Amino acid sequence: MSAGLHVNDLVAGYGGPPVLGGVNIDVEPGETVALLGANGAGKTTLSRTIAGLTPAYSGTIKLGDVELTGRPVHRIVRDGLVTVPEGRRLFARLTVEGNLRLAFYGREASEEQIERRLEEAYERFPRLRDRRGQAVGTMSGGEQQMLAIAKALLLDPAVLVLDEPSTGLAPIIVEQLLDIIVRLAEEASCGVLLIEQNVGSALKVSDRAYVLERGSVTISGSADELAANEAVRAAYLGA
Amino acid sequence: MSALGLNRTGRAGGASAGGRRVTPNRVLAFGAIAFAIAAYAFPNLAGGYWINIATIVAVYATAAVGLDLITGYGGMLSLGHAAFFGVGAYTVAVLGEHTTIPGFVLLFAAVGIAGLVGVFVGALALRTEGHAFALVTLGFALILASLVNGLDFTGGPSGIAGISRDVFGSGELSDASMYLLTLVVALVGVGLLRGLRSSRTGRALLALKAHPELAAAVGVNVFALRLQAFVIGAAYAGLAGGLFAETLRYVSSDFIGLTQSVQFLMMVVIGGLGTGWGALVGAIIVRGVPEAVESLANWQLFAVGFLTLLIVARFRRGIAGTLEDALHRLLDPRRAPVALRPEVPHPEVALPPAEVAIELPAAAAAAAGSARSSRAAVLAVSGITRAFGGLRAVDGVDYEVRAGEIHSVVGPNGAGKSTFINLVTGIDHPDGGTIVCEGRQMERLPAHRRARLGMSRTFQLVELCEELTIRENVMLGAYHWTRAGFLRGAVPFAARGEERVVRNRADAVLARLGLSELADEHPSTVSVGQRRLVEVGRCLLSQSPLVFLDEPAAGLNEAETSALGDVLRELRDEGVAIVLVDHDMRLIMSISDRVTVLNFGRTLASGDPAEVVRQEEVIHAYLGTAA
Repeated sequence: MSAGLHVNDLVAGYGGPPVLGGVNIDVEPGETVALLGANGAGKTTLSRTIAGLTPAYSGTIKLGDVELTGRPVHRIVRDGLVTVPEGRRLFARLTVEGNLRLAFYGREASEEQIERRLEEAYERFPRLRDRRGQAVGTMSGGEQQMLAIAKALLLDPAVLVLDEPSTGLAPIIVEQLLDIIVRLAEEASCGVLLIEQNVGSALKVSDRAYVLERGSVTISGSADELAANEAVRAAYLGA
Repeated sequence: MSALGLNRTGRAGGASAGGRRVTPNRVLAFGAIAFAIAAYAFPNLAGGYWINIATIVAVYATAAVGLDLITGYGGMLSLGHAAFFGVGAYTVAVLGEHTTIPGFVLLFAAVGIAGLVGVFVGALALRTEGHAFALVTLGFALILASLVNGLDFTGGPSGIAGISRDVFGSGELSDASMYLLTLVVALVGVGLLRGLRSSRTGRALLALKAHPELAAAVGVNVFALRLQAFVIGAAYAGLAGGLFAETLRYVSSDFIGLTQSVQFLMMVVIGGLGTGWGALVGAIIVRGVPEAVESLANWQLFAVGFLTLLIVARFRRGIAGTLEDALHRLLDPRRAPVALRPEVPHPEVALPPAEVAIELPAAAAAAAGSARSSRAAVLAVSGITRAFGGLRAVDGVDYEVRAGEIHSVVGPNGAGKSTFINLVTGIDHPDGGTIVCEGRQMERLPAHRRARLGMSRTFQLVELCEELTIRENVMLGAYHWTRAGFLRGAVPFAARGEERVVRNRADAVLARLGLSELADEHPSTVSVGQRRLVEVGRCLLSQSPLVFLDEPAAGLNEAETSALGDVLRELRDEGVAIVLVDHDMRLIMSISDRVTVLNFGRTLASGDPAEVVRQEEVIHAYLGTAA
């Protein structure tokens, strides 16, 4: 089931001049890759383009051998590429459990299997178990963020793209979340593309990293290399 | 490349700095003058039939201007606009029939009575929102149309004929004179509406349309402003109706039914909601073209319907809006492809230390003065409580922040931090407890009153108005300490001094936050982190002595966060009291004077930051091992 994500010479934007000017990024199965960059560098545009929410002008996005460019969003998700967008897209009037159950919509799964998977999710985020019957719109921002991530994991992604997952989460939850990501990569050999402002922690849990500047990748390498890189330290680590 | 760089680093402020540059606004102004001259010359060039059509178009454009104020600016979908048009028309017809009042006085009466009816309908409809609002206006229009049909003094279904055209007491006006009168009224109407767009009240309306909570947070009385816009829009329709009666010398209920209301709506949608001149374009297309080209008359409904679909599906901003956008793209030299922009803010310079001194806000200055001596509590909250069903989101919290102090609130997700901010800023109201700000009891006051008394805030999910530029979004913060209302905002140059002060301060704030280059962009074109900074800028411009920041560092990287910390520290040193909610413990620890930890709606710990984070229960509930 495992197939890597291969972004090749991707040019994209919002109808006007391109925001991404030829981006190359690879995420292999079982690998966690951090994507760093200043605000406005194009990180969110990249995640939106990969998710199929914004059309690519040119270039290719492949999951294994499957060409994703031009495919509708729901197909891309079924192909195994799941994105947790910035600003948590959830169904505010449904309960926590209702939102999680939506992950199984249109998939073959027995009630038993679903129950087991939900239990998994609640073990990852015990807070969600406490809130399982509550309407999502009435939960705090951080709790909604947890739910968005929990729901993405239930979709069994081959590659998971997380856009600023730690936004609004308490430090203790961020720690757990990064733990979950590492385990996900190791145990389910899922590839993770981690877009984070929290650069220090992102590099700690990643294997490799890219730096995106003004729509192009300017630096790439192993996470350790980047953590030691002077330019990266100065620009993003406040060192 | 270097030329582009120069352009982008040049002083922010597009049009004002541009000297003789061709700017979109100048092109529009030129086009407006050319149109006015052409329209003025029209009667001499065309025959009588054409003048009548043009007069009707001008009358409808005037009514559409009123609807654009209500729907395009105010975000209130009215399905009963023709009713106010009808009130104006029948006012002129009935009064003219029974009295000898001069025509122009009748027009004033039409404006006044339509406005009065607008107060009544508006006050009723504004108790509801969205669909319900539209249905209330629709219901009113239906009632009015059937009354007009049934009552004797309105002439029943056959209407009233023989209306005098003696508008100025100088005898019956000719078709050409009537045309000039209606043209002037329509063009003045468009001009005023256009002027309003870039004024304090126009900005407030657009913000209100986007996010009522945001408008209230900068001091806008949401109900009152909506009602004002509705009444003025209704009065415009009344004026148009009065002119209509005098133009045709005849009124009947045919002109005020649902079809007419829908037609007004089509005009502003096709022309371009919220653009001002879209009302004129829409009136020409919806009324003028089908009348002028007789073969099209049978196709009018088809064409209008089709155009509406096309606009809604493809050109959201209507004809006028789409043209304006195209103009901006064509004429704006700053619009180099993003990937080629050499001056996109770099993290190191994203938040330079404030080199631009911002005048110390009066309120904050006073606070700073007293702070140094007595450190007065700007905000004192005591035993505040709020339950949602069985869930006690905030459960008896005490809290205090002094002038020149940063008192942070942290806690696990769902601990009640955002609810706490909402209770104190007035978006939500507590079940119990007291809130005292600057010596005033606040817990019963609505959000906009609290904003005017000195509170400003940012939102966890950034709330900016997309129709406004980034500079204009910052300028929103000045709403509560500026005065220009509808009239002063709409009349050119009437509020120039005040507007200039606000604009200059906004530019200074943007410079301080490193956002100068983005001043003329719209929020959706910049990143989340930058949008958060724009919200901080809005708070800065509000000059409030008390600022609430709900997760301002979410979405910022370490370098940007530490620069944000510098700005907050400066603000504190200027005497502002800051309530900071965030999860970034590096930021919290580096700038807080006090920290309160909430858990399950209660205070878990409070006091000196270094001591608080050492407490076992805080580490267990919130920090984990990272701290």
